This record gives sequence, C-alpha cells and structure tokens, in this order.
Amino acid sequence: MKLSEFYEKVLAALLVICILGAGLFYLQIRDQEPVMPVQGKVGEPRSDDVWMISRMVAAESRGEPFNGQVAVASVIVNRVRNPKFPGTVNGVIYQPLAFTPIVDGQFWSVNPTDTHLRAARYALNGWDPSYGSIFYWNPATATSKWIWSRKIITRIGKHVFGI
Amino acid sequence: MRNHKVLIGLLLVVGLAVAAGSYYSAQYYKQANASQNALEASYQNNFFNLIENMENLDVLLGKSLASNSAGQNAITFASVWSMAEMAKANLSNLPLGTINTVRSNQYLSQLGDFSYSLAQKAADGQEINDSDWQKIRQLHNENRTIHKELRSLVELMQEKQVRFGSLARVDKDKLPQESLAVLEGFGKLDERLQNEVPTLTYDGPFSDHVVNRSPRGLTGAVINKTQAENIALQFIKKMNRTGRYTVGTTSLASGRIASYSVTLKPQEAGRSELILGISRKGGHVVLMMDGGEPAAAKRIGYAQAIRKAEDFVDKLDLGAFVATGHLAEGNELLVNFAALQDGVVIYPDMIQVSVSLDTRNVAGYDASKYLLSHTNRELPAPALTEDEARAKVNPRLNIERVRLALIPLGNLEERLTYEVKGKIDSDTYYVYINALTGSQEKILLIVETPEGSRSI
Repeated sequence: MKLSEFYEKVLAALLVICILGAGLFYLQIRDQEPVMPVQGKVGEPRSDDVWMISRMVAAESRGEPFNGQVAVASVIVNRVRNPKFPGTVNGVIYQPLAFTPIVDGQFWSVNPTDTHLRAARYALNGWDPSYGSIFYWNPATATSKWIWSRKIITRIGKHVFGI
Repeated sequence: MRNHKVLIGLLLVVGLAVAAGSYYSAQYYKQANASQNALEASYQNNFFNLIENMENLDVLLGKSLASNSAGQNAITFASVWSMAEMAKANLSNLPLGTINTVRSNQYLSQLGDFSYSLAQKAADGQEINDSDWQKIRQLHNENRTIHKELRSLVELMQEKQVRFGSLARVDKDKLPQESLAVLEGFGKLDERLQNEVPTLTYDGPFSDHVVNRSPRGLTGAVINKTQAENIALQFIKKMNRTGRYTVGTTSLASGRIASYSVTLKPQEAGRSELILGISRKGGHVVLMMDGGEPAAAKRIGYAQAIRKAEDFVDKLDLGAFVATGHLAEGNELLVNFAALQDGVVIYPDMIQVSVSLDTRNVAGYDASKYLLSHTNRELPAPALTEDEARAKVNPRLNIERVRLALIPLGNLEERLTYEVKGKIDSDTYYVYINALTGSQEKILLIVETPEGSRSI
C-alpha cells in the first residue's frame, strides 16, 4: 500500500513535469511564425517592393503614427540607395540578421493594412520623415550596444532613427 | 487493486506522452538539422563565389592596367562592374551582420560604379587620365589584399570547423571563441578598407561627392520652433483644409535637410492629423503627409485630381511648374511636377503632390528633390535646332513630341537636351539628345498602365 502510494506520487510528479515541459516548449516557439508568404502581383511595376516593405512596416511599427511607419519604410529605401548596403529592396530586407521580423518570422505572418501599404508607397516615392536615416532601433528592446554609437537623426514614437 | 489500476493508467499516460514527445522531437530535430545544413550550404556557396569573384576582379583590373586598347578596356571595365555587383550580392548574403560589412559593401559598390564610368568613357572614345589609372592601381592592390584575407579566413574556418550558421546565432553573447574570431576577422577587414581605400570622385551615383552632396535649394535664415509651427499652419491654408488645427508636437531632425517635424491636430472630429517637415534653414516646407486612414471610395477621376494638384502647386509661390506624369497609388493620385524655366522643363527641380481620390484633398506633398537641386541656373542656348535633334534619333521611333529639357546625370551634372517622345510598336520611349553636342544622353522606357505611367 505504502509503496504504491509512493509510486503514484512519483508518477503524478512526472505528469506535472511533462505538462510543464510541454508548456515551456510552447513558450519557446510561440513567437516563431512558419507561415509562408503569398506572392505580390507580378507584372505591376514595383508591386513586389510595396509588398515587401509594407510587411516590414506592419511587423515593425505596430501602434506607431503614420510618419513613424513611413520612416521605417524610408530606412529600407535609403539603404537601397546607399553604397554600404545591397542595391535592391529584396537584397536589403533579406540581408541575414538585418531585420528582426525576418529572424522571428513575423514578416510572413503579418497582415499589412491599407495604411501600411500607403506608408510603403510614400517612402518609395521619396517622402522621407527619417531624413536620410539608415538605421532604426527601439531603445527599450535594443540589445546591441553598437547601435548606440550611430548618430541619431530623429525620434518618432518608440523608434530612434540614425545614420 | 483500485490503486494498482490507477497506477497502471498513470504509467501508460506518462509512457505514451514520453514516447510521442520523443518521436516528434526526433522528427523536428531531423528537419531542423536538414534546414540548417541547407542554409549552411547556401552560405558557403555564397562565400566561395565571393572569393572566386574577387579573384576574377583581380585578373580583370590587372588586365586593364596592362592593356593598350580602348575598345578592350571598355569591355574589361564593364565586366569589372558586373563582377563587383555579383561579389556584393554574395557578401550581402553572408550572416556577418551589417556592422561588419558596411565598408566592404561600399568598396564593391564604388569599384563597380567607378569601372562603369570608365567603361562609358572608353566607349565614348574619351581618354582615361592618369589620376584614374592611379585609382585603378590602388583598387587593384586593395582587391588583392582583400582576396588574401578572405583566403586566410577560409583556412581559419576550415581548421576550427566553424560553420557560417554559428555566426547567425540569435544570442550573440554565447558565440563560441572560434566563431567570434571569424567575425572579428571580417570586422578587421572592413575596418582596414575604411582606412585605406582612396576617396573616389568620378562620374557615378555612388561617387563620394554625390553621396555627400549638400542641398542647393536651402536659402534663407535659420528659423526657430515657433516660426516653423507658424509656417506649417500657414501652409495648410494653401491646401484648402477647412476646420481648425493646432500644433500637437514639434521635434527636430538633423540629417541632410535639418528640419522641424510639426504635427498638426484637428479640432473637429472626423479629420486626421497632418505631419509637416519644415527646414531649419529658410523655413521651406520639405514634406507634408496626411496621417489619416485611407478610404476606399473613389469620387473623382484622374483629370480632376490632376487639376486639384495643379491649383495647389500654383499657390506654392515656387514659380512655374509643369505636370510630367501621374500614377494612381492606392486611393491617391501621385502627380509629379518639374519646374519650367524659359520654356525648358527642369527635371532635377521636381515636386510631388498626392491627391486623395476620395476626399479630393491634397494628402501628400514632397519637395525634398527640389530643395536638394534648385538653384538659379543660366541655361545655355541650344546649338542644335529641333529638326536637327529629330534627325539624331533612331528612325524606327515614331516621334510624337519634342521639347527642351534639362536632365540630371548620375554625377549631379546637368545637360540641356531635346526630349524626344516617340513610339516603337506599342512601347513609348523618351530619348534625350544633347542640345549642344547632338549626342544621345539617355533613353527611358515608359511603362503605361491604367493607373498611370512610370519611366524605367
């Protein structure tokens, strides 16, 4: 009797550990978004660029004012025109380790709104409320010390923009 | 007995959970392993392509130095350009982080761009001067050093069995010593380039003098915050906005055109806030954006929207402008305007107006290009007549319109040209004939869509 009670307790504890383990596993992977992209319309000029940039805006500037959204898009456009970065929109966006939403997969799971699309188009057409910035970061979550050595151009909402 | 049943039940549940967990973990592990290997293969492919392209660049630059044929040099320099572009694409696909590749990317961009300008010179029959040859020699030496250092990095990686994938770890603090050494190697290479590559000034868009240009159109005295806010409030009157607006926030942005960013808040419900950029020097309006949600309704046609944009531009007091193209973007019509001087279209001095097809309001305005390039110009008298220019274009082109236009080149120079608009089959082209020399400066292909046209 006593022995089986002991086993019961051990097994119950094991069960709890299994559930906890599963829970921990879920917590670790829940931010990973393995959803695959739907392609933008082919043949329309620049529609792929708008598609890509609006996704980055949707992933990076939740709750940001419109100029903050255009500024995030502008950083991508400014990089394309800068000799220090790849020369195409896809080259800049998919550059390894360049943008968090590509690392955690949010880029593919967001649903860009009409406002995000408008922000992407404004940036592609030359509106630049980041005033030439090629970096942006969120001071609350930025982990790289290096990023603070950049020259700050402006702050909009929760983001700092710099060169 | 009851206890035994419970015991066996529990044992079964736990056993099953562990078995299922192990099975799925093994599957995931296999899949993750395969994905990592595929990624590693792609990284290594890019890395070895990079090394090979650097080798080819070394050979090509050397040959250009040894060659005495202008025709062959034109081909060699064009090959350098495309090889440098490929090397840059390879480098950009490696997980080294933007910090460690910034200067290497710039080196490859400028090497390609500079070579392209030399290819053009050689093709036009122009002499490549001594200072250009000197730069080629320097770039050739630099290229050889980079190539050597990349080779020693391969050896280091092979010896220590470092995978590129290990450089891409999310938690950088936990990188193993060997991976850090490799990253450091790339970082040092990048730093060296920073210190040793010459400043390159040549006829191309990545030339240092173009990248570091300062705005020509920013005239006037430096203004303060209150003045900027007043300019913003005055400006929206030109946009015919009804209702009252007050200043929400104003912040300062540095950058090429240092500006006050002014947000204007509406006093009545149902209107959206407006964001304006006012230059610190001279108080020019750099940009305006309506921050509201775009609506889906289309209440006016394109012709009416263009008229709206033209009326607005007339009120700006910036002088005469002509609409040069339009494009429907979402529920707005973007209209491009170029300045007019003595009947000549001044393309560098461009402003853009975006009109909402729903509210009929001006929803966006941008003058940054105009402020970068506008200046008082003395236009030369054309040496060619319009008929002479017509005779210079390809006879297959069905000419529809010819007008004088000042166009910007990649190196910030400007050329007075005849803009010849014509069609071959159903495609529209703009051909630019230099109005002084008669040589062809540029060709644009116009892509016509129901939404408007775009030049390529």
